[in-house]
Amino acid sequence: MMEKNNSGIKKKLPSTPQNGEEVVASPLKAVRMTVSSPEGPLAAYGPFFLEYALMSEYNLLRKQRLPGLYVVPSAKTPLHWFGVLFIRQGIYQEGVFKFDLNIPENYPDGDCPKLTFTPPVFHPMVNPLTGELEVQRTFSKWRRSSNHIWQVLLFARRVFYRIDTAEPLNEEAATLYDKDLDSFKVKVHECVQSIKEHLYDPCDSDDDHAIAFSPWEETVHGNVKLSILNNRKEEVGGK
Amino acid sequence: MSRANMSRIFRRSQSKGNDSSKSLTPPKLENCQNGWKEESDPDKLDPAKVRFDVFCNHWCQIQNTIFKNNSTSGLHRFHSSKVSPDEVQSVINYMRQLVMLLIDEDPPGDGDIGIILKFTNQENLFEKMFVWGEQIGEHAEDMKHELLRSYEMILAQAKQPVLFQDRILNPLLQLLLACWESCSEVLEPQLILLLHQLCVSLTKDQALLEYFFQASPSKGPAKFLLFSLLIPFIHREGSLGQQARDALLLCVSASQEAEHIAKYISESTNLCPVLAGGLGALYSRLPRKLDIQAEHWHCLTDEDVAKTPELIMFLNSLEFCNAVVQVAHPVVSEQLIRYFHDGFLVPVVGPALHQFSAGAWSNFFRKGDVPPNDEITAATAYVELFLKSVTDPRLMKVFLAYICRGWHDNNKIMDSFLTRISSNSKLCLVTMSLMYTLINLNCEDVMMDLVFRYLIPCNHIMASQRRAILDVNYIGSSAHKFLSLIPNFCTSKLVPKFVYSLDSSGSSLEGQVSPRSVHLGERGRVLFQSSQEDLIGDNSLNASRNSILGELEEYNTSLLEYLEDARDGIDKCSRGCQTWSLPYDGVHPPPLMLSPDVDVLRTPSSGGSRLTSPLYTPRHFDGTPFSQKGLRSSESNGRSSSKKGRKRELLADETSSPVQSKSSSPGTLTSTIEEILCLDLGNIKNVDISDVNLADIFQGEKLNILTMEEDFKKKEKTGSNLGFPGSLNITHHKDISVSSDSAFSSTNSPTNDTGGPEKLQNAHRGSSDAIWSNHHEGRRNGSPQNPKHQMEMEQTLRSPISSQSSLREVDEPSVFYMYDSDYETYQGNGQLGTTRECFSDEADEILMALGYDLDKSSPYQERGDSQNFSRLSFTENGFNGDESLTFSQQLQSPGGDTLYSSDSSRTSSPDHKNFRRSLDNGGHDVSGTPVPSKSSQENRKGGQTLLPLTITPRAQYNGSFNSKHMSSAPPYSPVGISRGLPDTGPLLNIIFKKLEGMMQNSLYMNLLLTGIITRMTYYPHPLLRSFLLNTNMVFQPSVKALTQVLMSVKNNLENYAATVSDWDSKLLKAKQYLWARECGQSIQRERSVTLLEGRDKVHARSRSGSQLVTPEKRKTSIGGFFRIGSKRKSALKSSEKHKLAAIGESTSPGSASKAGEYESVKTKNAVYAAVIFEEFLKELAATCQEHAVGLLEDFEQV
Repeated sequence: MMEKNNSGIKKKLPSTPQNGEEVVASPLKAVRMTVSSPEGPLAAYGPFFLEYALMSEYNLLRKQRLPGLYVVPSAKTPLHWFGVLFIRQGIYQEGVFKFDLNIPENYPDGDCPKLTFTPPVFHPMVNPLTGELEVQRTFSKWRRSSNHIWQVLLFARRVFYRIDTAEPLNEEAATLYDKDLDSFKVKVHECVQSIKEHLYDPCDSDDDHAIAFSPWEETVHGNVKLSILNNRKEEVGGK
Repeated sequence: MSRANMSRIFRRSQSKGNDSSKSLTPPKLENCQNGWKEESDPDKLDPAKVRFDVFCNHWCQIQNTIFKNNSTSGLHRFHSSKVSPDEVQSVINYMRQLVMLLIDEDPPGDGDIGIILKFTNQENLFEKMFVWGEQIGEHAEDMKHELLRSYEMILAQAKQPVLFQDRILNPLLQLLLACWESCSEVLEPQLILLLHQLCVSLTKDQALLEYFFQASPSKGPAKFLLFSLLIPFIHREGSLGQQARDALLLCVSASQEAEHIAKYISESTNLCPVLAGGLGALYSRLPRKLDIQAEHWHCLTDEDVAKTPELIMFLNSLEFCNAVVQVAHPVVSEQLIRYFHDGFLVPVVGPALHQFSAGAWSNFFRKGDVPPNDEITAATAYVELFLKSVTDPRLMKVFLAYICRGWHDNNKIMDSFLTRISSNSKLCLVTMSLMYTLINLNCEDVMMDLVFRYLIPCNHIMASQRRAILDVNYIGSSAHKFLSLIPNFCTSKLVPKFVYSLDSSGSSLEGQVSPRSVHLGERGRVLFQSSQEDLIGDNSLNASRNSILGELEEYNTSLLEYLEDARDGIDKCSRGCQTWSLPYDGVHPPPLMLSPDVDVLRTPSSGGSRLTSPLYTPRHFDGTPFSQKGLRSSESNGRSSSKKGRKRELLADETSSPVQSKSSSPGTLTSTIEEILCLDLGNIKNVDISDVNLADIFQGEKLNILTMEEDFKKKEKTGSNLGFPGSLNITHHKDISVSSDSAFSSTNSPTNDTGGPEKLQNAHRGSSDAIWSNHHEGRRNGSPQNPKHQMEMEQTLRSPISSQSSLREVDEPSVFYMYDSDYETYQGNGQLGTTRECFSDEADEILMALGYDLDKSSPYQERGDSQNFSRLSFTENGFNGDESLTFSQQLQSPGGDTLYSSDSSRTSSPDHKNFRRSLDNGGHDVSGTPVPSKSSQENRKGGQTLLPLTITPRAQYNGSFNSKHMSSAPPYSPVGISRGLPDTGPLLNIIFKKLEGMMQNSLYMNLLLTGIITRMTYYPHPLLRSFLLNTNMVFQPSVKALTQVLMSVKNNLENYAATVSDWDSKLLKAKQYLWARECGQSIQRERSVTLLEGRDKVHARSRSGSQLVTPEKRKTSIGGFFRIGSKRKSALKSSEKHKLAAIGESTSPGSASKAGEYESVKTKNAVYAAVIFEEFLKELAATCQEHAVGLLEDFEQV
């Protein structure tokens, strides 16, 4: 049901990264939690709501036009999104970080989605073994009416610009950052380079929508580049 | 051929033409013989020469015959009396040969003409033939026929530019002229053929058209013969009419480039009147009542049309009008549109929609009851059909404007429609179908009139909620709410179906999804098939119920199909609304800016032009002093004409005679072509109608219109002479309401008023043009215009009154209430008589619209309290229930002024009360200002009979002062704000009311009703969408939310279901019936009948039917129900009856008593209502969800 491609070509520069907690204006204080838990009479419609909620989330995300962020849902389930984050400034400049976003099945009533970097990135908030990003603290309680998935992704992006070392998942990174910024930068650079080297490795996921990189091919990519440079509006589709 | 050539030929022929008078010189036989002699030379045998020689030879033969008896040289005339038929025939035969030779001749190629043609010119062949033909007495017809035929062939097939030859053209013209004067029936087809061919030739060559246009005969009433000849035929049926129409259309389209021809058409021909009048006449031939057998019939379908030849004819003519408007020069188009409005819509359609048969009237005692009149039903169905047939945007505009804003006998036509919806008859069905058609047009103006203007002020919601209008419900809570309203006895609640039909295509979803089910979640936990026993397994149901439930499950419709439907619907609607000027999101247009009569008419379809909306004037009946004397004297006294509406009345009454109202006499359709031709349009003088003979046009048939009584006809004529010009004058002008100007802004100098309402109108028109002109250029993209519009508005607002600008920014509910323009306009002017600014002061108008006081600062700043205004509600007053009445009285009353003095704001309510009392007494006003003159008092009293009660019934609906009154009456304060309780407008009120009574409505009524609502939910505009679909919105107490209504329906259904013994089985049967109906397309009629004969077989059949995933399944959504149903009006008649009988039998306990029958009907209705209700809720939920996801569209355009 999800869109196959992400029209990332049209991303614009955003306004300053916003506070992740600022939400779509919802003046209703008394949101009636009428969507029932699975035991309610409309339980069987759960999947319907779920699917549509996810679709809206995806659309909202697209509307945000977060720069450097590309996301596509998996071909197998809408609860698993593939993404890649390009960091263009700061310490993590040139970083190309692929990630998986896993949305709990009881969305939007469950916990906040999990974001996992593959391969793990050297960052205080990222678990060095699993690559999981620490989002729980920021979105301690996932409020369905005010929290959206794009906020998680925005947070993920922001994490690379504003490094927060409180309660880190990667102790080493945290301490390095606090004490020895230079070596932190060196390590980051190493990490970024190594990721880049492995960028063209074949993807181990069998999902059709998994994000994979391939070397530059003029025939395939040349047109896209041209259109980007010329800032034309037409869709360059179907590659 | 260039003009130089043409003139050369002309001159050449002129020089030769001196001798080509009617008297013909004797033939030059020598030439012929010479030519013949040359032939004998063996070496000169080239084909061209041969042909030429043959030509000459034939011509000699002809001449021999013609001049046979002309032995005396002095005689110039033919001796025709002794021509025998054989001779004529021989001449004809020779002519044919000649023509063939002429046709076949190739031009030599150097710009010159061939020798045969030259010879023809020399010999003046055609003229001679023509003259001779005229004189041969009884065979003249044959000759003419032959000539016509010859010309036609020449024009069609000649390879040379034949028509440029003067000597061929002139006789042609003479021939046509002769045909004009007398044309027998035999000749007609040939004539039309020739004319058609002529038009084809003309349109191919613009120069030729000009030439032809100028080469008019010196005598004859019409300059451009072509039109005069063709026009009488345009309403004929059959191929003759079709050809004539085509020919005319060609001419008209040729005029598009040629302004003078366009002018000619509009000024000197009566094409437009005849067209419009013909429509009226054709309409009168349509069957008065439609023979409707099927219960579900609610609109005319193609099959119906095919069965009614009169309807076909009418539609042909309508199509022709449409085509003419499309292809003609704007001058002509505009004229035609005006005639269409004034000659067809107003005199024919209006009365037709309000005709009451004599008998019906007497049965209706209560006000507001609608006589279930078959004739009106037919008329409404016709109107809907016409609406669907018109394609040209301009024509459509005028049509729509008439329907939405037109008046008839002081009723607004739309009001009549809305009143009729409240009834419970076939008329209601048809009217609802019409409303659906209107809503389905995606026309901004229509939606504005019907819905948006009541929603824009945002009174229906709490002020704090206004931001919530923009909310899109992403989390599905609205959808959930709707689904939760499904009654408990419906299995959909527990067992939703998410199945695609096999043939569904076009959805972006199915790429991932197998056709039969939706997979969700990795573990397939939420995989859906057609039933899930485990979910209902826990219910404590007995076995039989289970089985029925199980069967019921079979009939569950798939939610996914509703989703697809919703997506399609929203998509189409969004596309259709792309050219709208405003997003209607609560911010644009701002609630403050409301002016109910804002002239923002534009249609989306063609990126259209603005409607120069005619002023639809309420026609006041004679006998109202107000209408005649009051206003006039008021003008002379300098009394103000209050609001725009008042202005309308003013103008209308000044120009229309009381008799005008007779045009709506019951039972007759009044327009005649003659009447229309008597119209004295502004720039059309002395339209000669003698050349249009009604009898000719309609082949002498007896029409209703021709059988009118003499005196009535006379009255019509007199009435029309007075009325139409007036109305036409008015209609020329933009709706003055552009800015909902107050009446006071109308004139500066009161005394000049009487002289020139036109002037005012014109001035106003100019101003309104200016105001809105920028609006209408290229509104492809709404957004660039909005800032511009806003800017413009702001500029105009700011210009005269800078001090007021700050008020605009105040975004307080209280600010609403200061916009009370009728009061506004009274301030400071003392007596009513003082009229204010010149109408043309556009800034003033806009300001008036916005309720700004031009003379003093707004007195309403103090009155932030809405309470003051609610006390102004006139429902409790002692008047005869006609609220609009009191309002206009107020307007007239000198006491009105006191309402605005700012210091009296606190005392406003007592003032009002006093005021009302004073009006009651007919005495002086509160402030003690003596009534200016006695006449004013009279007027006031007279005004009491001003507007016949028209809309009081509606007041019943929401129990409060219906702001709709206001909009129909001249004043137009922000709708509903200060007049009592907030309200969402008559349409929504009525729809919701009917929805509430869903259980009592018939199946078809419910289908239509839910169809209308669903269609409205497809509109993406936040105002409407949030009103209908946002379940979290908090509305004002007097405004019912959709969910509220649905909740009450659910309760009613559940309560009733509990009282009916075998509800489930009834439900099952109903579903089976409806399923079988839908799948009936693939089932033969016979089979469906047999289906029911063995009732036990039904189950088997339908079960297999439900498993069958066929394309038909897609139509199981509600929209499909009635869309399909209407098409199969006739096909399922008998089968339906059988089925209904089957169901009816099963529901009634078997007694034939009336009570039992009633019960069964009631149960039947309730059962069907339950089915529809369930589906409706699913539809709503699907629409909610699709809206949430649909914002993909919004930002992709960026």
